[in-house]
Amino acid sequence: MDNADRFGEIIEEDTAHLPELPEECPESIEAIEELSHRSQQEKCTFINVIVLSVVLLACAAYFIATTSSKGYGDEGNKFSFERLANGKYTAEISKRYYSTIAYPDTIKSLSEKLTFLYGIRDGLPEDDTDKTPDTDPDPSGDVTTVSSDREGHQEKEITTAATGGKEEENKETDEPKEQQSKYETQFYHTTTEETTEEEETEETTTTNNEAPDVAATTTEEQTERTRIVTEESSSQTETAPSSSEPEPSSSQKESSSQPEDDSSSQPEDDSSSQTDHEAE
Amino acid sequence: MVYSELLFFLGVMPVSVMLSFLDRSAEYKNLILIITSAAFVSWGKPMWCLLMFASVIPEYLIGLGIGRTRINSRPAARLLLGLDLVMNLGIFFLLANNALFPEDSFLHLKAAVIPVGAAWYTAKGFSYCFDVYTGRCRCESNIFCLLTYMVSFHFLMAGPVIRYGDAEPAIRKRSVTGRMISDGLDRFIIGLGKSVILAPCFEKIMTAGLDHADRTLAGSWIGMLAFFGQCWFAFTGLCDMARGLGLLSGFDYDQNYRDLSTGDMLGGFVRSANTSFIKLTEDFFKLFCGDNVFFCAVCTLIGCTVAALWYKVSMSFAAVGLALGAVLMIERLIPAKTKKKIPLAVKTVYVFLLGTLILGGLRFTELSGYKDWLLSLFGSGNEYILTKALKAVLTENLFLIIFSFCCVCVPVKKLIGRGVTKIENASAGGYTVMRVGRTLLIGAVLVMCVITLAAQNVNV
Repeated sequence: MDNADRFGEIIEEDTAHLPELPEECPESIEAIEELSHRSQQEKCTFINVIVLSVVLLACAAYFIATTSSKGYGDEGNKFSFERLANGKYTAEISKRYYSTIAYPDTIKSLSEKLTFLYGIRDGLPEDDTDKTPDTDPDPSGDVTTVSSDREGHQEKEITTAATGGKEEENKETDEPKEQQSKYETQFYHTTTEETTEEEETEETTTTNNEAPDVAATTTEEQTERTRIVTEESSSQTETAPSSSEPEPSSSQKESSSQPEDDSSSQPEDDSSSQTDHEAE
Repeated sequence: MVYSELLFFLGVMPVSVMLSFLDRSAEYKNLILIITSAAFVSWGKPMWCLLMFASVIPEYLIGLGIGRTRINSRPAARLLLGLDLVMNLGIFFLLANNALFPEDSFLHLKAAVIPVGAAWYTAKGFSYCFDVYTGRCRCESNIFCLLTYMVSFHFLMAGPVIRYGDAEPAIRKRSVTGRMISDGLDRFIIGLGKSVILAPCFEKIMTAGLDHADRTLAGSWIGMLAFFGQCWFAFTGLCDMARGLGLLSGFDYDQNYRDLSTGDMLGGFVRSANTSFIKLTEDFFKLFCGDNVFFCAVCTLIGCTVAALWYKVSMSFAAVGLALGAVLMIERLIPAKTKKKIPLAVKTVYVFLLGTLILGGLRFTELSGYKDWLLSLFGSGNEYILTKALKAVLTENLFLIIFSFCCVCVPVKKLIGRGVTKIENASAGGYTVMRVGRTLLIGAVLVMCVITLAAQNVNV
């Protein structure tokens, strides 16, 4: 017993200088973790608010700063209740806001480059505007038919392409085009014979040779099977019935070859040249 | 003016939000909200749109009348409710669908049409009086509060049809926390991205697939799916933007859509979109059918037709509403236990096929177009499978399509969500990385939307 008392005295002497520590419970550890997590959440929330607010306000400031009434002379956008009531005042504000956006070319270029993030494209927009398909010297607005079996699909492809100032010739090809302008619209279309009347009623819009932005479209009135055949090395326009054609009623070339100096692809040019060819 | 206009989210919205922070009182915030809403709705078309706001006065008076008579004189309360319904229908037909009237008619108002909102406005106005009638909320004696509820631009584009009882506490007293601002900005920008980037992408695919001289098999299927995608992202984008605007102003609305689900067959799938309006319609028709299963089924048919016409008054929408209502009526008659026994895969195929066939009618204005498309779905009249135009559009928007699929497909969405949560919970660093990455991604979406919209509006 004396040894136990002495042992206790030794223990007390050793631990006398140490401070008393509170007992820790699991709940306090959880609370500390939860507070730490909340603090981190609030920091991230703060960063989120700051970043998005700065971006939003920067964009707003950019657009407001570039909106100016200087370009509108001395007229200005006068406020009056009449103009406010009939909506002209607010319409003028909208018009000025959108018409005075700074660096429009840069914005358009950025917008086009953004579209490259959306999927898989070939080349840059600037490259495609200068590109002319080597394998398809079609006249602007010309429609060529190709038939091919590709990837197990039987397809016929009608491509309207904006071309350069090459001499446009008719040709018939069965080979699928390898190189396409970015702005070409390619349609798979049946081959038919087309009458002159149908031709005239067609609405075909084509691009110019310089900067094709919109590809040609077919008409809605092509209820019959149409086919346009072009032949090589021929300045005259001819159409030959396709072997797959049922019974061609008439043969006609659609957007015929045009002289080199008449390279603008206009619908009226096509129709006039077709009329000329019909007369022949 | 619409939410996705530059002038709105870079001009009106920041000004409105910042002005509302100048004072903490709800009355001041409500005043700012009313002024901003008036500017939003009347932009370019002031007189007729402000006339619409004048309908708040009869709503207020009718609400008071219903509140005082609903207990003592039920027929009088019913009469007042009917009067409110007629008034809102009148506003609806006059302003939301003025294409009903010939152009030379003074009712046409083509030049003064309100933006996409009169339908939601009238639904909200009717919901207030309806809730007073059913006792869901009490009649409001402060017209200022009712005016705030009615004209708030948050839910004028695509809802939700928020009920007055749910909005009243926030109208009387609200505060905007940092968390709400953060969530509000996130929601708004995500919605903007859906409206500006995703919806137009699907529109291009739809055009390439359906609006072609030669219809193809793939074009018919893909084009129609793209049409649904365009509608979905346009609608949910507006809903997200509305919810974001609400959060920025101190209102916390319920989401007006939910994840697409086939578990409850076609009815559950249809209810995924515009949940608030469907709830209002269901509550309305419950007054007539009670617990009778057969009457409920008939009311389902009528409700679907009414809802379809509410979206757009046209023959095609009416036909789709009738067809959809008939299918939902039959589904309603099937016992719930039987529905649970059907495998999910079968339900998914059933919903996919039937939904495509019925809802595809919304795309066409004439029966002949719908018929041609229907035949081409099964290869009739098609000589080819795929057009190169469609292939090009699909390739050029491939990443967006994959991203959209991940957003819409619930299992994929849950998988991604679980992965993100796992990384966030792994460590403090992981949480910070994910949150900051999310912030940067949303910021990038905002910049992309601004550039895209600016490019559309720029005059070169």
